[in-house]
Amino acid sequence: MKKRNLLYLLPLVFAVGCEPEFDEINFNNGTADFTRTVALGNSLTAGYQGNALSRVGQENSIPEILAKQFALVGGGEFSTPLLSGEAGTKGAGVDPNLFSQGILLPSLGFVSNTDCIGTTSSGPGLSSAPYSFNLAGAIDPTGQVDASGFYNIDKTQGKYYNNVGVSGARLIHLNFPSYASANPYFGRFALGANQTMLSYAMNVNATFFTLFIGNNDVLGYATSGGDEGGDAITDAATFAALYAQTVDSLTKNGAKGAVSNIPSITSIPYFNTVPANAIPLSGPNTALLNAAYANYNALIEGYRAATVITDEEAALRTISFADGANYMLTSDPNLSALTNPTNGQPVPKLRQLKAGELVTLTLPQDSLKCAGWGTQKPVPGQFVLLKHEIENIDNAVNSYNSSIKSIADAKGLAFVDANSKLKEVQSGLKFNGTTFTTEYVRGGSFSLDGVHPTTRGYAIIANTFIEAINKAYNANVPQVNVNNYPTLF
Amino acid sequence: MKKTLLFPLLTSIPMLMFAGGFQVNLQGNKQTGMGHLGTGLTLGASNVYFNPGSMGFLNKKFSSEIGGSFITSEVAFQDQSTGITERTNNPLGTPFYAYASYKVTDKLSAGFGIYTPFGSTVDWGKEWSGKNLVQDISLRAIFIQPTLSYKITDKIGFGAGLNIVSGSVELNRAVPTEPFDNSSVNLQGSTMAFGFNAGLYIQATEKLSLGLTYRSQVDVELKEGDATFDVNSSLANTLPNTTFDATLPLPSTLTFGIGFQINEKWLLSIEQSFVQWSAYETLDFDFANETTPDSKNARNYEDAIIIRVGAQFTASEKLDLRAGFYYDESPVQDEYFSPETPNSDNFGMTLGASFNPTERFGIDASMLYIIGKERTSSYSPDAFGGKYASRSFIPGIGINYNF
Repeated sequence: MKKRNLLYLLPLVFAVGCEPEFDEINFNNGTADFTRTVALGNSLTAGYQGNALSRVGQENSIPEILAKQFALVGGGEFSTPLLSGEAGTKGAGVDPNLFSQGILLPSLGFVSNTDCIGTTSSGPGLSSAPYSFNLAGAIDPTGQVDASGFYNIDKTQGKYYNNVGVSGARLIHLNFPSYASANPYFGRFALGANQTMLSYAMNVNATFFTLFIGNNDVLGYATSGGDEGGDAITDAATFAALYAQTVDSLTKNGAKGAVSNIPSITSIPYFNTVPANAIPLSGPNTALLNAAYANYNALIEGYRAATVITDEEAALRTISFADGANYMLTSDPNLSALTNPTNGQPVPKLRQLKAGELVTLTLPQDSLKCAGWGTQKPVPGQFVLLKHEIENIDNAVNSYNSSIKSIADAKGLAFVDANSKLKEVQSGLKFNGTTFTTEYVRGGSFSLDGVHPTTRGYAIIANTFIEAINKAYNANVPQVNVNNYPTLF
Repeated sequence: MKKTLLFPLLTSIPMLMFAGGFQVNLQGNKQTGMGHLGTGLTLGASNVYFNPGSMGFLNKKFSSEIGGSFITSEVAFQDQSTGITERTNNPLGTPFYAYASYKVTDKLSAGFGIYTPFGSTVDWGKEWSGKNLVQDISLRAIFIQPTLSYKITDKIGFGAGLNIVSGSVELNRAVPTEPFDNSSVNLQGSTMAFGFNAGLYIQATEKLSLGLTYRSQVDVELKEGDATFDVNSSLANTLPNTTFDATLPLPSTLTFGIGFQINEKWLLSIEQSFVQWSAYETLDFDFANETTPDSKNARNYEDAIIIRVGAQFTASEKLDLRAGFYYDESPVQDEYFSPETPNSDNFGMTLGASFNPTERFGIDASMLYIIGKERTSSYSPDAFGGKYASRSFIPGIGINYNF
């Protein structure tokens, strides 16, 4: 037996002097100082995904990934106010109505659904049952009262965490005095009800900061279907001024940093999974529907002939279905108000969606299949983005991004072009043999909520941060292997 | 005891890539000791491989050789963006050869050879950063070659052989199947293929000899190889186990060599090979199952040359000493560098010796050290690259028996 073992050693003897070696790569921090870093931002900074904040999401957040890389070039410790227990493992999703009743929602998972026709398929759904937490935890400074692991931060220690990413935060919220009471994601670790996110971040006394904010200043408008949602887009000039103030504060004590622009909202899977022409029709159904709209179409034609509405508007308002894929019927409040001459009633502002208009991921498929949505009834505006709404969103993102870029340039900060990176992912971003796209679920870059990245998606953005930091500060911080991070399943 | 000795060797018969592409140049210990050249020389029964034209110029009526080498080799990869260095854990490679050459008449010789001129075993591990390109690959080609050689004049010989090739490949790679992790595929297949080699040998003067050989391209066409997928159960229907077809060209090689016997003690030789690697354009796995996307992998190799220099010193009647050097150009372009055949320009340094205790029997030993020049390359279709370098240390031993 011993002799046999020795034989196996033979190749090892031969191998002496056979190891190829490389020069050490000079990884360094350049002119940046990562001794103490702070990450200020929204859900994208917190590591939120699948409609919830979870422990695994937090541990693989952009700032956590960055901190581990910074540590390789002299960076200091980094901490995140991690969830624990049930909240950590299941994920903690806040729905305002349920939250006020002491109920948290778990992350989205893939679950089996049976639709109205009786077909069973897998799709996104709550990965487990909603669970309760103790509302009293909100005012408990010891982090002991709430057993769910949501309000688990012991504030009596006065500890400042480096990751100040708060899901839902808009730019204006950074300096909003009672935000800790309004947003439990901040309330769970804020030290005092009136402490703002910005003052919290300033207390970290960081030598380097990352700022990734502004997405929610337009996202809420977009995900709630634009004009119908009642969630206003932050005015571009206000955004520019607030952003400059925020950066002024963060750089006040000489800290360097990186700021990221906002990835195009209308490119995310949330708006690009359900096609605008998701209604397949054939044979008798097509004929029946067209017959049903004949009178309406005649009415519209009458207004056109009388030049009450333009040819263009008449064409838009004419409802027509054909065999094959059909654009959904919806209502468009921007159409001209018309009155039906025969009964004095207002003419419904109906039209079909056009190519390029978007439908949200949350549109109930059963309503399309069984309740006549999109054919007999207009799809409610909260589920669609019409052309002008898309323009509002894209214009806002573009102007925010040009403000962010010019402020970053003026301050000499690293500018992270997350928007360009999203465009790369849209056309297929290859990394070590894996292709990431923006396709829902299969693209690998977006979580099941269709809005927030997967862990691998966050790793791609973290590498984008590192590239920008290396460029701006003449540094060479090592990047990460995206494929080492977990996939959705 | 015998079993114990053979076990670690036989389990690792596949050879490691260490010459250009996946060529393995270790077809005779005498030649290996001199930089692996022998086209313009008559060193023994291994002429069956090196130049069938010179078989009639061997001294004895019957010549035979058998031997092998033990390849220890390591390829290292360094990702320039993450700084991670990863190394292959290649098994010991053991290419072998056996030759016999017999003078039927003064003019006509018949010979037989079995040898392994192509092969590669590269094992990067299951979880390395290039796992989507290759985890491990083992490629073997065993050539069986019946050969005839004819001495046209006292000075000119011509020979040709048929190559019966038994080729096989096994490859493991990870398959990116977002959003599911940990998918992989095992591809395995084997086949027979045919080719030929031919050689012309000219003993120009007593001191000067010339050789020219050609080895034909052999297309190893794998039909209905087995593709075994290890995927998440949700994907079992789209990626079921299936079969595949693939073709791997083993390129043709044209070699010209000159031998010069300076005096009784010193023999010098130089040689140049032209390997038509440009035949290796793509490695495509065409899967029988319709929903399995075919795997198309551009290779776009370029033709390459090998230059060899070697010397033999006859120390005594019983002892020959050898040394050599070669430069083996990589056929791989910088943007198509796949870790599956991680090939750089190679510099080979060799030493060798033969001990002939009797007139009939001799032992041939060689040592080869190869430096695979560091190169920064990527496989751009998969956006994977970094620095690569390799080292190989290859001792070899063989015996010859002639009468």
